[in-house]
Amino acid sequence: MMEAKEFLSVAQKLAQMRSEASIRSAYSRAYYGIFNTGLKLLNELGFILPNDASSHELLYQRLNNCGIPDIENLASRLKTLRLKRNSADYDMKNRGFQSHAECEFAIASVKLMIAQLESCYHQPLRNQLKDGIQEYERKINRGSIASA
Amino acid sequence: MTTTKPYPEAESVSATQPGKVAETVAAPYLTRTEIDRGTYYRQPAPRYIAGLPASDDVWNFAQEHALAPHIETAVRLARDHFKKIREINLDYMVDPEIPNRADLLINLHVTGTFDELIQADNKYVRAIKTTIPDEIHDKMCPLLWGEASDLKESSIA
Repeated sequence: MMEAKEFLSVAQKLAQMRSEASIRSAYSRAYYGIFNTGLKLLNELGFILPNDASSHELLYQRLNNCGIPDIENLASRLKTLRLKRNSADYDMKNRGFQSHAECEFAIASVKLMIAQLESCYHQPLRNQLKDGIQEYERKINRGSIASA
Repeated sequence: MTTTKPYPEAESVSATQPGKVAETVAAPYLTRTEIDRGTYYRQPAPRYIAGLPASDDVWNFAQEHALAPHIETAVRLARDHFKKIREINLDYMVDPEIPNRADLLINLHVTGTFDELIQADNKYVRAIKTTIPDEIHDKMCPLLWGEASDLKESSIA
């Protein structure tokens, strides 16, 4: 099975090509590198997210409400990277994808984020993350039951 | 004693258009100011949020969700946390993949060393999270576009 972080080396090669099209594609690969790493981690912890577009938001929400400040910060970066990726793939008028240096920064940030998520496979972070997400899911389930 | 000279009576009055003034006579009396004012009313004045130009989309979304004070807070916090900001601008984006989702984006173009930017961003994200309510944070998002002065291509291989 392919490791999602392999997308990062592709992203870097694309960034080095320095054309707008390759920089846009680099943002997209970098995002999917971290997104799939996050999905795999949650899967390992027993949280199965749907195999559709809603999983982008659901992954963000779970990481953003897990109660671990560093992981919540990571969730914010995940969200911003997804917004950049949306813009890179869909908004051809956006002129923000001409900077090779900004793209290199984004890829280096994703590398840090992947290392952070990989550290969550080990204790005590593993249990903290699992408990935090379970607690969040209990809250939203209670909310949805109350509003039904 | 002075006598006033009466204006001459119109030589002829159209029965069908008694108040009609010939355009060739009226046009030269339009002043530059009036022409400018006409232009002004056709093109609304540019609008700003937190001192930043706001497009119609940005303005309307911000009004609809009462985001303006929170954008001001997010911009102020950005100026507090990042030493070198090259540019800040506002944008609006409809999510192309998730129905009924749109975001107001605060694009922050910043420079510094990689560690400086990451540390500043960590603090900035925490400050945003503790200052701006979740339901508002869900509709607006600061996007960090960093240029790290010490980042070499080989360092991220």
